[in-house]
Amino acid sequence: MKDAPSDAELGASGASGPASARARARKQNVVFAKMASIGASAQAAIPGLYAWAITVAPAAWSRGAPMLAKVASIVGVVALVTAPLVEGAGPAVSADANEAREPKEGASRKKRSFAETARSWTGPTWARAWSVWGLVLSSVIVWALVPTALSSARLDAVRGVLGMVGWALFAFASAGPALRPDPDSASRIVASTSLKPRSAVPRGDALYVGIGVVMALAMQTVGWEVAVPERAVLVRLVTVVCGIAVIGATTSIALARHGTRARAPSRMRLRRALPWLLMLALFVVSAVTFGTLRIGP
Amino acid sequence: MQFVDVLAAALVVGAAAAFALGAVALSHASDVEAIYYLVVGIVALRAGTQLARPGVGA
Repeated sequence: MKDAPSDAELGASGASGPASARARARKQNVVFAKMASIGASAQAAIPGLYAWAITVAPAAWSRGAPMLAKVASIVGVVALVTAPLVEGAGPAVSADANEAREPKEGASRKKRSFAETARSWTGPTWARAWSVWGLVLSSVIVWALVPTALSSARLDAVRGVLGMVGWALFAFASAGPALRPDPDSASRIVASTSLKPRSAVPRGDALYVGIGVVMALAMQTVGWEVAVPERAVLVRLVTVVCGIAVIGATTSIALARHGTRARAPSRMRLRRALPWLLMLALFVVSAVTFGTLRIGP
Repeated sequence: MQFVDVLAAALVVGAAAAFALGAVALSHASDVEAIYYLVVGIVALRAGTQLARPGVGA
């Protein structure tokens, strides 16, 4: 079995292609491992933020909502976002767990005070309390301050159902244990040398696709001021389809550079595109003619 | 880079511009103008893709 190269080895190889690619892959693995090892509060934060965005934020930022509602809604987000920090700061093992390992003195247990109970809480317990109660109480404050935001006149059914789903997911993720990576997954990896690509991908593909993505994103800036909902949806649909078409065209142009076939001469490529070029010219000429006729008389 | 490649790039960029103009026309409720720009965009995109293809085959 060949071990993965160390950082020193990677550094010694300089900025060569395969070594830097391996270093990049290792960095990505570290990021994925960190994402997989996040606690329950961090995993619950995602549906919590979704529920907050659907049901709390629109109420806090609705017309006529007081400043206190906005502050309370921000406190809810802060509770969700900072819960993983709380989870990491607290003790990982409860004091009760340590006591349980030792033999008990008698069968009866003394009733403990709240301070003792709180002292025995672990980091995940504190984080869960902070994220759940922080979000729930701040949301209750917002809804109490802006009761009209949840009326049927202002909250449509689809958004209400989506908000319910969001809160249910948040409750489920908060109550359940954190999803951990499978410990047996390492044993399923087949040890062998690193895979080698059959051919090197020429540089520049990312530039082609990047230009296509920029053009597609630029289309998304159009048509946000439309007041009629049906037309606004139509504009969004058209811009999305056009963006996909542009990205597809730039991708196919980038892929065409890697063709193994002989490169056709320019004349042949022009002849191949001639019908489309003629059609384009026809459209442009007809538009100019139509415009001139409309302006003229 | 040959002239044909430059023309292909210009056609793809022009197609994107035509699509954007079509979306603007659509948002202003000018449906005929929008359809015109969208069709021009499709044709320009197709022409640009055909020009950029380097292979000998059709």
